[in-house]
Amino acid sequence: MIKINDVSKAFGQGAGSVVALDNINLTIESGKFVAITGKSGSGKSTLLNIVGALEKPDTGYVEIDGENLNILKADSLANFRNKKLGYVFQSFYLEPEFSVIENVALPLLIAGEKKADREEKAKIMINKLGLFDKTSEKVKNLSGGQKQRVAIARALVNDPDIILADEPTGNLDSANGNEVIEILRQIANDGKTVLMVTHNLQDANVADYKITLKDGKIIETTE
Amino acid sequence: MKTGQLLYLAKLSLKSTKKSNKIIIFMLAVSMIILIPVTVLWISVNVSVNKQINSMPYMLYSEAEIKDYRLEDEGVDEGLDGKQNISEFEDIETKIVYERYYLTNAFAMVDVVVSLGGQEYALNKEERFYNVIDIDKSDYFFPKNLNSYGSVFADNCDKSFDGNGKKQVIVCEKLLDEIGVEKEDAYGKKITVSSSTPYYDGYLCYEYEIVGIIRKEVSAMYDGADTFMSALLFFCSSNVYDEKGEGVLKPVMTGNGYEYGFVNIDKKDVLNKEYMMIGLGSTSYEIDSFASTHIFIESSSYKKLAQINDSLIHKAISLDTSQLFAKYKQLYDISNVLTFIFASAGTVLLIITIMYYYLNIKHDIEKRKNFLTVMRAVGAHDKDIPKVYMMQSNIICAIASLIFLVIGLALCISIKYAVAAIMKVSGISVAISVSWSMIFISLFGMIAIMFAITNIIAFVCTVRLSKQSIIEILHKEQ
Repeated sequence: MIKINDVSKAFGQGAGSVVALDNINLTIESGKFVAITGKSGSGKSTLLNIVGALEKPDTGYVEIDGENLNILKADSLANFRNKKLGYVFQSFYLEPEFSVIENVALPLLIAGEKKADREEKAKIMINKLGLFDKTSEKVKNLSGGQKQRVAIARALVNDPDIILADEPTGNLDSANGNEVIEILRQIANDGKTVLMVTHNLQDANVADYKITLKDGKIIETTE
Repeated sequence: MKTGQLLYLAKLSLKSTKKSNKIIIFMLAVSMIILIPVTVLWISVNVSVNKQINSMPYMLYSEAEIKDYRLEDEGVDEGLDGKQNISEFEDIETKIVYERYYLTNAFAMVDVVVSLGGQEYALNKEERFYNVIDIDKSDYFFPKNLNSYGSVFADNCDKSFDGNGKKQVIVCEKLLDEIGVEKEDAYGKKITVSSSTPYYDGYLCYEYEIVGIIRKEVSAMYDGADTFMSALLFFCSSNVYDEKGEGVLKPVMTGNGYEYGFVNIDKKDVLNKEYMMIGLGSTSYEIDSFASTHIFIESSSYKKLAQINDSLIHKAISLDTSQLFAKYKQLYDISNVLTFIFASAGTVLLIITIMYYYLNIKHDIEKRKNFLTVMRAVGAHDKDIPKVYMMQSNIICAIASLIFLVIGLALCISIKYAVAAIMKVSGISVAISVSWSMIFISLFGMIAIMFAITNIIAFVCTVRLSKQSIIEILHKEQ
């Protein structure tokens, strides 16, 4: 379960500061697929980053499965991210010179797993996402949709509880985008919590419920 | 991340930059290879030459010269109360004190003691009870009222270099006259010299073996303690004759107020410390002059005798070093030229290599900034990023070092044998050597320096990235 308590975040200082989030309170139950929507600058990516422990709020705190992220130190936070969270970014952020399996296995490598174990788990995930024939292929040779699937595989390989996707279809065509959304839906169906930031309302409709942000505030929550 | 993980990531990363890494490895190895012979040669020449110079014995006199030197002071010594020369003292007692230091400190160092006889003070003769009759197993003894410098010296001659406690003495013929012994009978005999003085309590008693006799003519030649002493020491050395009364008895190292060195000895025998005697004036010396022909003693500070003592104990032999220095200078010049050429080339290449490596890492980091940041996002600790690149540096250095070790070792061995051959051909008796320890210290020292430099570069290039906010970097790129 994700609990967001009185979270606020501003960027800049003094007169030029911009309020990205303004006193957000939210509870997201486990196993739900939540879409966070809103116009550019509404604070949706900031919210995702704070939940994903990539940023700290100015006020308030986030609790994930009882763990207050604010009190964790940098290394503990990194370990938490490794074990509990999986990220899917709009730009994929894969290493193009590494192969698919090398990219996918990265979180397992960081977690300290042995080579044989990580290769096995990575291969399972790669198969699950339909990239079996691309296992040893260098990522730079893949299509956009395939790259995003590799990114999703990387996000899932450590079996995290929560998947955070920031505009996962942003750089994809509609066909690939739909495929990716389907994958995320399936992940949620498998019991994981999926938080997806999107400005694509069509993609947002696939979620269990939708949170709309405006000027850093939640203005609407729809199922 | 643990070492295994870092190594795996580093290897993966290096695969993607194979070409530039190969260039770096090559350049690193070559610059080290160029620098190592220079390092080994230059260090070896300097270490060997300095070692030889520091252990070098003193100058050898080709022939003893009779010189009339007066003692000169460099400055006022507190013990001399402002006087420039011992002979200036009018007070005989004070003069005796200084004479004692002058002479006995010098002779305290020696194996063979010069016993001067025949010089008498005109004043206060009765007060100078230097000789006391002691009857023991000795063959001879001094009469009670014989004034003799020998017994003054005997007071303070308590060191023996022969390790058996045996003291050897060269006595003046006049002294033997006093005790009624023919000089021909005196050699090898034991004589007891004991004394008490107005200045010290108690008796000091020593037994000596007579090993040399100073001719009467010599000891009677000069008046005055200082000049007599000065001249006498030289005379002693050139007039110490053997049992048959001909030639020289033993080689001696001796000196006057200003100079000393070896007399009556072949250069090749100089190192044999058995043939050694030291005579000194009551003056200090300039350490630099040990390397020159003469050793000058310029001050009459008796306190500095202790300095001389310490120094000469360990170095009481001499060698003509002028030719040796000329050859060393040649070696220095050659090694400096070679050093300059190779060191310049090697250093320039090394600087280029380091700069190229730095730019290479910077470029790689820039290219992979996002991936490195995402690594942190998926759980890598901040400090893991520099560690990955430092591990990469270690891999690169390890490969370069392997190449360097093989070629470098071969080069060093060649230098070692080339230097030995040059030494042989040039005829320098004291050799420059390239030791194995020098070779290995240089080789591994250079490798250690390379590892240090490349790791520092890797750390410096990555530490900033590892501290930046993950979101800042990713959003900037988006």
